[in-house]
Amino acid sequence: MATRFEIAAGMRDAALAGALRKALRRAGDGLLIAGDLSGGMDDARGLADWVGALGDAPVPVALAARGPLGPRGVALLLVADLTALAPGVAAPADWPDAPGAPALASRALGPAARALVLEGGDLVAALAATGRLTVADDPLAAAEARLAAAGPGAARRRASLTAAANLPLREALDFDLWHHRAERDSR
Amino acid sequence: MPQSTPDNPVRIEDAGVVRIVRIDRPAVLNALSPAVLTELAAAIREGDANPAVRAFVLTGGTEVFSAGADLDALAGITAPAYPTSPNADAFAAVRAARKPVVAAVAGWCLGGGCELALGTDLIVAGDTAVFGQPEIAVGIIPGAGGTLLWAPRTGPGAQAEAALTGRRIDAWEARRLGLADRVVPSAHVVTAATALAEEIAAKAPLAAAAAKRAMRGAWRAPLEMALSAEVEILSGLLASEDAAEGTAAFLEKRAPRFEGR
Repeated sequence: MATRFEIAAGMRDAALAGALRKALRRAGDGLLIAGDLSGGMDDARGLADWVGALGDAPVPVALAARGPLGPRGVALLLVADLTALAPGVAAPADWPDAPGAPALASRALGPAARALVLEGGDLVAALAATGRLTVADDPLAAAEARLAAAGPGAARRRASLTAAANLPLREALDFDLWHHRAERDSR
Repeated sequence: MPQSTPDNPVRIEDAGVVRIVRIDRPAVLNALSPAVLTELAAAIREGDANPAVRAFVLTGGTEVFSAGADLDALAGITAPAYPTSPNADAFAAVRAARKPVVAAVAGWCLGGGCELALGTDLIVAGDTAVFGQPEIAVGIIPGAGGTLLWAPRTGPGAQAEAALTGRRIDAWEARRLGLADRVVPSAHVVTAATALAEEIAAKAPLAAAAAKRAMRGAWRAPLEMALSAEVEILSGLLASEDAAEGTAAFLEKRAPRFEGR
């Protein structure tokens, strides 16, 4: 069962960081984020805190996005594992200048982020091409469906993805193998 | 298997030659009360003297290692009494263990909890582990190695940031810095630490103890002097108005007003 988190209009970065950390601790099989994505950055440390928490989340993070997208929405598009976006919603033209966008784009898209960030390419199309983003008339239902389709093992796989992003290969392998050792030992 | 009780909040379990010492106060995030610290010191000292024990795992389980000292208990310690309190003695017992100690850390590992982990030989962190020395936020300093024991693992910059800002770091950053030696899924952190302790315990016991003595001997004299100085400094700080204000503010859930007195 995933936990739904609604971002209120005007929510400050520090408050968002604290609330998201709490939500992640009780997230169950995943965290589904929705609400107002038009906000900007009011506190660099707070923004780094909530973006970092989502980036290294122990469960899958899904985003149900309706417009308009501000810098906060851009960061969420780039950090979420699975996004459902309402038709016709686009990232702002200056999205590469959103706080943290180059770093997040690099992590989300790898080397492909370079031209995209430098030339201000179509972020929605780039994320759609990776499969992370889909366009849906009902983003909330679609995001819920994507989380559900990921299945009960998604949290375990997400933890291993986080490990792979943070550890050398041998250590990341060892991290994932602990899950499999436990499964083997329980049989 | 011995069960913990409110009067005996530390569980001891022997897995072959590995003694697992588990802080067991989950309702209060394994806060380090005088009873916990007294039991912990006794468990380590007894195991160290017991020839059937070859290595330790020190843990709080798969949810939380320890959120730190019971501030209520710390508030009751006077400056002259701190150096001989159960607080200071328990950390000394962990650091002084002759046999290898592996910490299994999941969830909060803050303040005194972090200092306990730093007193061990190897730290296996679960992916939910969060390390930090928040003492400065309540007007005191870490008094059991938190201003000294990060540096040998992380270097002086991370040590200074931990002691001066109280910033918390997650398991991944802890691994990058060298504070944690391995990161595993939190659900398996005790199993992984026990496996590592078993691997160590399978080696020659005398050689393992000698290696530990040799590794620590290189910095024992200056570090022990520095640790004693840290205790003395904290003892003086505990008598300050700022420390009283910091503790009171924490307990009353408000921002502290420090006056530098």
